[in-house]
Amino acid sequence: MQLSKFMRLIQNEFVKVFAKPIAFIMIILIPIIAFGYGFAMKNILKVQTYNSNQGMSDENYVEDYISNLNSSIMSGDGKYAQQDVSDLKEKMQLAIDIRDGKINVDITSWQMTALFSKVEATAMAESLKEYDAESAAKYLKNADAIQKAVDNDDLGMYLDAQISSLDDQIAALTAEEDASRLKASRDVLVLRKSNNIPPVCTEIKYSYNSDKDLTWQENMISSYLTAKASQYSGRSGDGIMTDDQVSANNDEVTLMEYRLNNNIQEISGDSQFGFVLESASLVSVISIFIIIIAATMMAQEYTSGTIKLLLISPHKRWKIFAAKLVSVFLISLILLVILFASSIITGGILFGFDFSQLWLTVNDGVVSSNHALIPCLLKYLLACPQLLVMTSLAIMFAVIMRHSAVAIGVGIAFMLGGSIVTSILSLMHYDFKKFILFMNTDLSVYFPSLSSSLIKDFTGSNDIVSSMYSGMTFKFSLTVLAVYFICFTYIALDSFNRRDIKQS
Amino acid sequence: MDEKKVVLKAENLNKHFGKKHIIKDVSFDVFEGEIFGFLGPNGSGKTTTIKMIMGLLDIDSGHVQIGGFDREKNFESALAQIGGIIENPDTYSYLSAYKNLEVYARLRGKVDRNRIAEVIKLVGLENRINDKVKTYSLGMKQRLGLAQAILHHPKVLVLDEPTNGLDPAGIKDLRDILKFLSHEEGIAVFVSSHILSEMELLCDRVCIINAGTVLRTESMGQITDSGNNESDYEFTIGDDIVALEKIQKIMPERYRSNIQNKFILAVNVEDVPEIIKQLCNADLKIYGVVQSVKTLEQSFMEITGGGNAIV
Repeated sequence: MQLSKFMRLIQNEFVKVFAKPIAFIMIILIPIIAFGYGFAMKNILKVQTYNSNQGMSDENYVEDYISNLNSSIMSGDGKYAQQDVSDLKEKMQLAIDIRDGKINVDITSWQMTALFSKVEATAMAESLKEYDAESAAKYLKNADAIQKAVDNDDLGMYLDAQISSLDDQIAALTAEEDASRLKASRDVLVLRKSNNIPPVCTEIKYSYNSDKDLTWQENMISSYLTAKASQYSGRSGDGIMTDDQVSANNDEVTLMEYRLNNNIQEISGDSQFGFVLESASLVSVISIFIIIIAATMMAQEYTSGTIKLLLISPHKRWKIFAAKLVSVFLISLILLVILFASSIITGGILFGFDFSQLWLTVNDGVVSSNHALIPCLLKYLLACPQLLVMTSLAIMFAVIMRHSAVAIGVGIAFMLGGSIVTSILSLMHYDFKKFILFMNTDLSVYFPSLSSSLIKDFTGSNDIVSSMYSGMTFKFSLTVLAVYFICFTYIALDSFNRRDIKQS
Repeated sequence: MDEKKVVLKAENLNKHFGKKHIIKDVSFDVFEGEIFGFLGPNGSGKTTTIKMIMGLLDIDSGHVQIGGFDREKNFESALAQIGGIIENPDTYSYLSAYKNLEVYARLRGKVDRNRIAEVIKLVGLENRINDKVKTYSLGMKQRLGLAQAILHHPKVLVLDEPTNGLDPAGIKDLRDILKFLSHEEGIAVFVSSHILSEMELLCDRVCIINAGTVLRTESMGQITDSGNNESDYEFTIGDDIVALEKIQKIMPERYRSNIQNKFILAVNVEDVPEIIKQLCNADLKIYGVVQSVKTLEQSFMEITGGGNAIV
């Protein structure tokens, strides 16, 4: 009975809001904004790719490479060890042969890699032959095996040759020497062999800054190499790893192995569901819409005098207030669902429909695989507490201001100003910053697995994020949001209850 | 009349705005089936009292009972018995009139479509019911406001200045509707106004308030009949300056007032021929003699001391 009375109040709020054009403008605007966001993102990615290519042909790269090596040899004659100089000269000879068409291989192919490694092996053999004939012989054998593999066009043979060469090198190391890098490299080769992933030659064409052109496997293998080396040595770039870091690193290695072995790419920002993950940041647009809806729903009742109709009806004031709060929140959820749906469609249109995308997570060394829709849903679910707090904030402004234009203006100014100030404060080391509302609104920062690989690239594997949010946890943020919600609602309800309706 | 139930009871209401004492010990009873006029000059506290009854303002001290329920203790039951228009007929102007009524019906509960149709017919809005309210004239908005106010079969209907902005035909329609509601359906109608000629035609009882104090609560007959032994007669006499001089000389005790050559004299019925004779003897030309009926306006002016709010 009580509930049905309350439901009728909510129904009334919906009737009133959806009779206004503003509601439909919002519903139409959300897909447009989502599409605009996707379009911009797609073009940003394109620009990055374009910059790295700079429209150069393969011949230009070879020419550049030759002249670079040439100037190194000329200028560094005295500085380099004899071995290095002969190494450079060999490499330059190889490049010249390619330019002149004596050797006919693609400069990014595995054969190219093989030829370079043959040059290196030969140079090693040359430098070692005087005091370590045994090792020199092994290097020479390796060089022969490589040449044979290239001649037979046999990737497996090449990888085997490299693996056995690494085995020799590891065996030759003394106990004090660090074998972790070599062991990691050997693991990479084994992985390449079992999954038939040919190494891409980065010597001539690619640099480490322009890895956008490389396949995701190639990019992942370079991360894998680092992580695997850390696993062997127990050290990361910062020094000896803590237990937590060790287990995190182990999990990362497991996950990357799983991805490479099963050919499951990370969800990237330029895929359908990757875009959906990115589009969750458009929730701030919904926050602005909430302020407008709350102002129409609350402040306009005062402006038009219709608040009197509500207050002389047989409902206690707090129920009328609660009906409005619940209605604004429900409408914001509807807008969230519209954003979600339009992001899926936009992602499909711009980046290609791909409903087979998978989302991998790893916990204690066990990889679990879910449909890519799951992280998207989770990420949108994490936006709901934020929407609830924004609803109470918007209602508070509407009740206090009692004039829709003023409430909208103040509300939007507070939101934009607040988030700008917070983004500046977040880079500083004030302890109080963690209690600021806008530091706590984005709950997804505590779940890095809910970001697409694009965002991870931007933030540098979460190091910046984690330093920004140091001392904060998911539960902490949730508590802060709850406290803000209670405060805003209390202030608004108190003002709503207390105020006499003096004039129309 | 005596057996009728009190459906709206105000007891010693007091209200302060800041340090100003706006409403001072206001009390009255409204019975079912009567039209109760709440009269007072501008700023006398009519609307404030109504807002206190309807729960828009807190009551500093005193009680309001609606249909037997205390307004403060039993808010929802009390407010379910009352409907009204306060200050303006407030509507959602971007909705159609019918949608407005639906919204209000949901607010009230227990109102079905038949009742909505019935009320629309009663206030005479059938032709324009699906138009948006922003296209309505003030008179039509008043009708819609009235429809909203009676939608849920209230026992008490409170109308604050309902004739504002209505044309004469509209006022007559409103009067007919209100008389129907009170006398046929037994609703207690509580009307506030400062337009006395209309109230005189409409109300069964009136309460006169000034500066936040109730001056008198009486039936319409009692108030206009304000207890004089002598009735007043209006004499139309030629040459008003001479006439005034002579009347004040012959019968100063009977003279009440005059507007140019129309003289109001206090005369009993049986004395009228004698007075005419005396005036004729004084060489005054009498063009007409009419019994002067005291209007609500005159009583009101007397009671409120010229109708000026003393705040």
